[in-house]
Amino acid sequence: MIYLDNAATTKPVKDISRLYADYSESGWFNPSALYSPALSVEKEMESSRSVIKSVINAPDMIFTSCGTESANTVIFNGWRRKGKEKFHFITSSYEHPCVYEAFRHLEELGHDVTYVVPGKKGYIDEEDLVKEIRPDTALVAIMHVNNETGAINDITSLSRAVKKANPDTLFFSDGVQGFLHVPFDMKNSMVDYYSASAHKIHGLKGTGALFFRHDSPLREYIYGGGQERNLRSGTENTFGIFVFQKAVSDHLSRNEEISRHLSELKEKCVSSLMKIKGAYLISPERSSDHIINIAFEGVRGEVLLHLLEQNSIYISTGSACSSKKRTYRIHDSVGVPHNISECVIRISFSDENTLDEIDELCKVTELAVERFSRYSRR
Amino acid sequence: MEKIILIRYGEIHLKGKNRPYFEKSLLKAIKASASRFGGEVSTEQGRYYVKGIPETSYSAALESLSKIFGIHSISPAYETDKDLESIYGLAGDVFEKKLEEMNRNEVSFKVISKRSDKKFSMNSMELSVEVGGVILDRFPSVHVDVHKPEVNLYVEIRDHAIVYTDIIPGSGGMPYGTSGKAMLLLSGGIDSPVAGYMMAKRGVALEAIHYHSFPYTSDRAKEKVIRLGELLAEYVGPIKIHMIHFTDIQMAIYDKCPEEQLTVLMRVFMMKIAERVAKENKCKALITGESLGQVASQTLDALNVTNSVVDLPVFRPLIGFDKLEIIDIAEKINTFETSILPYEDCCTVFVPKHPVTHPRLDKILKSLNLLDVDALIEDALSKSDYVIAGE
Repeated sequence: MIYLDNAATTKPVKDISRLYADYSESGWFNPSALYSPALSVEKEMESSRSVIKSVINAPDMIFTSCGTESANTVIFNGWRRKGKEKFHFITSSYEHPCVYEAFRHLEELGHDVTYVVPGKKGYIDEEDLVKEIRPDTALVAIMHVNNETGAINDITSLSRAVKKANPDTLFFSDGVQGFLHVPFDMKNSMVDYYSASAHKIHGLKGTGALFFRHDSPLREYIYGGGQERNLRSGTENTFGIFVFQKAVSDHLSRNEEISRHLSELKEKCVSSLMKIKGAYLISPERSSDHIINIAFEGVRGEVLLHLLEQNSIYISTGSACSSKKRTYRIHDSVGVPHNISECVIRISFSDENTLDEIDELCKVTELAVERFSRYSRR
Repeated sequence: MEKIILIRYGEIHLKGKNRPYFEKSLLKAIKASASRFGGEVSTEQGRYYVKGIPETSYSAALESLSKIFGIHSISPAYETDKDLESIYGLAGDVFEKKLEEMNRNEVSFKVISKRSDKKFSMNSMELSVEVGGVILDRFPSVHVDVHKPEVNLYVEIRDHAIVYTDIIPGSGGMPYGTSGKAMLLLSGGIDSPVAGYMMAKRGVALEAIHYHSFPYTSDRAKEKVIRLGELLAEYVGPIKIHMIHFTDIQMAIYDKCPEEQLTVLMRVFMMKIAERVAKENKCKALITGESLGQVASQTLDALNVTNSVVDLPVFRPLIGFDKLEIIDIAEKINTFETSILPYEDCCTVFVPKHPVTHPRLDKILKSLNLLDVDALIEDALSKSDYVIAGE
């Protein structure tokens, strides 16, 4: 099997069975209990928090259940309310559905939302964003790395520009595809909130993170025993948190090696695939090394996916989160014509992929495109 | 007092000497549904009673029964002995439940009595008046309105006394299978499940046939079709779906025939294969979801071509429907959400740029001559299998 859909989810860290043995032996206590084994669990959880925070030099962080929860929490609870007053929000037109749909809901509630379009260059332009800021703009949400195209937004500059235009406007960045893939220093930026998801970086599903500043408004949203800074009550998912920490630590210990490897994989993959007939690269110049978005004109994405599947190579057509709804929202946003959009595939790497696997992928893709383009729309 | 379900049947009333056959079929369907919830079925003068369903399964049983074709209406009802005291007590209790359900105290009502036991001590009119009096005494803030009542309280005197307030419309139509069996061309889109539902409602037993373009289409697309079969099975019971390997035929057409005829030629093969499988499985007609003019293969000319290659009658219950009307029914029968899942299917993988919209039969037959039609069909059938949805 050649797994190249790491932007959808990743294989869990290698030593997970040893981690689980430790957990079931001595790590299962409720971290809020008063006896000493529970205290050890709490300490381990807090040290996990520190390790995970250190990735982006974040002031503070709570554990959540997933990237979607983190994003929804900011969009519905991460700005200053004034009674029933309606506010203005800005986001981009190519956000992940967990952000985009949340803003659609704010619109239904009577708020005003502006969607900034990245256009052909693939990134959100600072000027385009700043000119939309108003005195009543409560929150801006611009993703760090686009989950389909891999485009990197310069959220450090964007957040500074937003604060310059309106110091009261808060800034959120969906970091699910950026976390650990693209360097970012939260304290050195003016980003107020940032989200991450463990299963995208070899952790487990059911574990996410929401990073924030101490002075950024965030309201309690799950009421109960007061866990997670009194924002999100509920007994913590300690095993998920320990695996999250392990995944991050493993990555950090080989950080440079991994970056080099991913960039090598991408370079090789792009240059080989672009030699194939009808290839159209969608990922822009400045994009994360773990995502390639490409189309082969005349070969529908899903058809190519199944042809690769025949050879046990697994890729994706768009984001797995929207495979149940067919829309071209993201590709429309970056100016890709529909006859190309329907042919798009996404290849996404992890450090476990090898150059040989890339060779195999390119070889099989070339054959598949050649075989099928004979039968596609002429 | 016992909580029962009262079922009335519809169009079967119109049947003459065949009536027992239709009644038997309907009874069989009702028994199959009721037994899943532990209920027993009895019959009496053109209606059915389901008894013995535990309270926890009661609403699920009502929903399941309401999906059976041939039923005119259903009432959740209570049964008691035929003495006046029991009847008055039950009528008050049933009325009270209705008020609770409506969450109101002040309503207008009317008592409607029926007496099939002519030996009963009161006639219908007298009984209505007496029960009405009992209700007014027990619920001081309600009043009688015989023209536009908000609550109808029905009291029936038969072998027992039966009291109820609601008449829920059933699915209508004819008992399933009483019109024989037909083969439904089930694509995975919005229209074909609706077409199947409509014919099943007229008493046609369904078998289905689906064409896939494996490996270009996925297991998910296949699962989607099975899921649609399961949703239809809620109305008609398990459905056999023949899964036909269509890829090689599509490629042969693409290789040898004019591109613009691809869609019509594909339809021709689909009809021919469907007819063959239908005859092998004792189906007496084909059913398609075609709606006139909806797409290139559904123009009058295209239908003429695809119709001419088969002998069996082809039922197209949606032929005069607009897309929105079809969607309304798909939503009502709960197949819409599944139908719109966006997987590639055999009709989206191979699409000509400019399909011919007014094909001529002679030209299509000429193209067919370029292919070894029988061998292609044999080969496709040898690579096909079937599943039973909703078992």
